[in-house]
Amino acid sequence: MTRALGWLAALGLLAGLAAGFGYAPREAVQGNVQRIMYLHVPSVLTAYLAFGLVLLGSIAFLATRRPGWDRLAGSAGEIGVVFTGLTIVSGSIWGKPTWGTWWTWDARLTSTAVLFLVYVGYLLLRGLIDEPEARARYAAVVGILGAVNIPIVHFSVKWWRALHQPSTILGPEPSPIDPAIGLALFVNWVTFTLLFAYFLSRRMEIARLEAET
Amino acid sequence: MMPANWGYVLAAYGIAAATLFGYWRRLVRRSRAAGARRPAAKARAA
Repeated sequence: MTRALGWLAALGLLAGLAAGFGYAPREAVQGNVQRIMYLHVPSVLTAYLAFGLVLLGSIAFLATRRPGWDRLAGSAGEIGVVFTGLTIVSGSIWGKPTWGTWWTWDARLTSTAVLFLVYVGYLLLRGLIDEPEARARYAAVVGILGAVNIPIVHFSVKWWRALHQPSTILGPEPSPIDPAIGLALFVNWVTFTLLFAYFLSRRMEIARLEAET
Repeated sequence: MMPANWGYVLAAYGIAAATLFGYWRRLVRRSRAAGARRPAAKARAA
């Protein structure tokens, strides 16, 4: 199952590159630099998914005390940090030619940086506590509190004046994106979700093996 | 229309590729290490 997910993700990455660089047209205003979107948006959607699973695993662990839920939360948290890091770096690179700056303390950027730091702290906390039950309990509390940041990041562009553009997907209005660009984005989003599932499967297996030794 | 800016695009995708490949390699190494420790732990338990 894990191996099949890995191969599907690898094929998906090829399809995603073909969709983003071959199929999708050059964007009318930004030109080719807009193609960073096919990396940036799937990264943040994957991070939302990962941190949503941290929330689910944390609540389920506190309710059942089954270690498998803690392994899910810890594994998803680690992968979520990787994808949030990619979101911030790709967004910063995209920002330089379009906004004229690598970074600004805009509501979306700042809340995403806070999200990143909260889950880095979550991983540090997990690394600091040796006793598995206590580690899982404290991490679950942080995992639940940290999830408060997810809607703040997503709706920050609505709640505050922001340089970052409003959501063009996952918003209340129909998406204004050109269908070809939307399809390329969809292919890359599915690919990143497959890649996340593959990483999660491998990371949970490692956590299970490490718990046995 | 903005200039092509291919350098920024390549930088973003290059960093992403290096990060994802590096994370995958880390998972592979940890998986091998955890698998190698497991028989020893089982033997100790027995």
